[in-house]
Amino acid sequence: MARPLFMSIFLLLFLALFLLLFRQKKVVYQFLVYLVMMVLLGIVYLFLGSEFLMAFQIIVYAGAILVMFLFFLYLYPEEEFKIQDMRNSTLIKTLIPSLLFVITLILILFTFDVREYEASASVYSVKELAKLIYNQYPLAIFLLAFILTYPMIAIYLLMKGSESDD
Amino acid sequence: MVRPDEYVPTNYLSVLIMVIVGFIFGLGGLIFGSFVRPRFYYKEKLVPYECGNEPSGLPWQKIAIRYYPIAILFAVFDVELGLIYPWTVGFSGLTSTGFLVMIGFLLVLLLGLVYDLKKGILDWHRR
Amino acid sequence: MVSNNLFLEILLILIKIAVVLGIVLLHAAYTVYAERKIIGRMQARLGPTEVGPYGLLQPIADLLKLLTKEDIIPLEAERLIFLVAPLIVLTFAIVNLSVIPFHPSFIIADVNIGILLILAGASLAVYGIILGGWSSGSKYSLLGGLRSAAQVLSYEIPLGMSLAGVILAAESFKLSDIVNHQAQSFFGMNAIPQILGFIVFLICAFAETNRAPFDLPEAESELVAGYVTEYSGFRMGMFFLAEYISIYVMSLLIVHCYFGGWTLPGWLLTIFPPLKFVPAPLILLIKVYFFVFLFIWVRATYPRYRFDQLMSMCWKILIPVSLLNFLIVAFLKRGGF
Repeated sequence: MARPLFMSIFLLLFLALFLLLFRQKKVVYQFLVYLVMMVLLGIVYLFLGSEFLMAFQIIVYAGAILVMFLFFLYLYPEEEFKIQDMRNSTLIKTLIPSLLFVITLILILFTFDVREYEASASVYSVKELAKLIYNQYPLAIFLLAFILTYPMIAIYLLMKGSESDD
Repeated sequence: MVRPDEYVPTNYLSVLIMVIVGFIFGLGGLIFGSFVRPRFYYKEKLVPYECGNEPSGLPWQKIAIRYYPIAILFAVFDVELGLIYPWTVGFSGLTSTGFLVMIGFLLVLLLGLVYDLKKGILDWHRR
Repeated sequence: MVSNNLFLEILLILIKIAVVLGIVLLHAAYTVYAERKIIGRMQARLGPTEVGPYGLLQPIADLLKLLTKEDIIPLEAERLIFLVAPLIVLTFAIVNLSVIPFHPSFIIADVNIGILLILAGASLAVYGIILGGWSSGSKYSLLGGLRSAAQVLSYEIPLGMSLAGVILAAESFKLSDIVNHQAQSFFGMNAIPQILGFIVFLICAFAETNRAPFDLPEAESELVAGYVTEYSGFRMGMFFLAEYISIYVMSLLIVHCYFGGWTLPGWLLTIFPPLKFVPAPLILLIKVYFFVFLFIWVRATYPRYRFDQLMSMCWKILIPVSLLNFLIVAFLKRGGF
């Protein structure tokens, strides 16, 4: 009985935060709302049974990638962000794909029979997850290493480009 | 194991309560303090500190781009850490491919770090 | 029936939290006193002597002073963020205590991903520093917040890497499993086979808690007080309380991960058998006190690092060394040692 209650609370929170995100005038507050959404997403993963995914979500997405975005605040003064008015035309443009996403999600939710679903052991256990991803998909991991070196080279180009006005 | 559609993470309840207690602890101190502390404000007191001078403009200017690579490199290495942890926990179940792929992964990332250090990204006194 | 059980469970958790918070906050308050006294003695001064016998009531006087100080919010500050930032730092410093066992059978939240929750809490606490520095509306706060954030972020990586070596040895995220694994291992503690990882972790612990010799926010000659410049009264007290709590979190982590927690190594017990009768909490307490003393001792001994030295030490030395340590542990374990 507790689970449907929590899940509907999360759904309502996500909707409220989503609307709040577009109502903010300042970029910092948008970041803060987005941060709360990221942490909430981690808690939803926890309810889906994967503890490790929650930790990964909070450490990597909320902890690292959003910090990277937040450092932009130090790069530019607030006025440069205010040029674009994010509130009216952009809202409609961004609402269409997200509404499509929500509609497909609801369709899947109502057509999919949950009782047929059997979760694999890798959802719950980190050991099984490790066996799955490292033994069966080694090429993907190795490719990811090269993808991760891409930003490292991009930093050099970025620094080289900004050498003159530094 | 419980079915995924009936699972409620009950052992995380104490972490949630800890978050709430920690928050209330800080907030409670502030609220209690607001009853006892003096309120005597005037304009000069509320000016940000700048060695006694009048502040020259707002602080939010464009600051050196040097700090931005640190944030990007941190994100890269954090993803790496996130991938290392399941590997360490499932270590005894790994085959030799599973073992070697992570060693290769780490070496490629180390190569990237060496490249950045050679190019002097993290040197503050380049010129 | 169900709700009754839930109520009892919550009550039990609250009692546990009250015990842990009471002990840790008392320790944090008296660490301030001990720090001033020890550093005073090391610099041939007396330290606090006025309030109470030997100055023993000094922490209480400090607390009362902080509570009754004016709460100043600068004119140009982003009010909401300025108000929330110290709460973020303090909350996530306190949450880290919930997954650390204090006794073989005493832990607030017995979850499978213990260490990862501490890392997650540390990465969320960085937001308090960044936002606090950014929102103050002062140039010193802005620069100090940026520097502290860059420092904490950089040192999180070697910290996590050296922890990966410890996790690999025990193959579990639970701190109690890590302690038990060390007690059964040949050396009795991780610090001997993973000496490189231990040194890296120790240095990172100093940097993560913003302590000397890495206390850039308190580099008065350049940055006044860093991101705390514009904070006053109890808000500043919250930043400092969080610092002292995280000293204890880091000391407990070092003891649990590298020195076998509440156990003593087997070879020591065979040399000197009466040590078997020492109770487990006492062993933990002595080890933790030693590391807290080390934090203070280092502050009295070492000069402050410059910012560029700090960054290049992290990226050029600590990260490759912690990777090397991890690879050594991995190959040794694969080889069957």
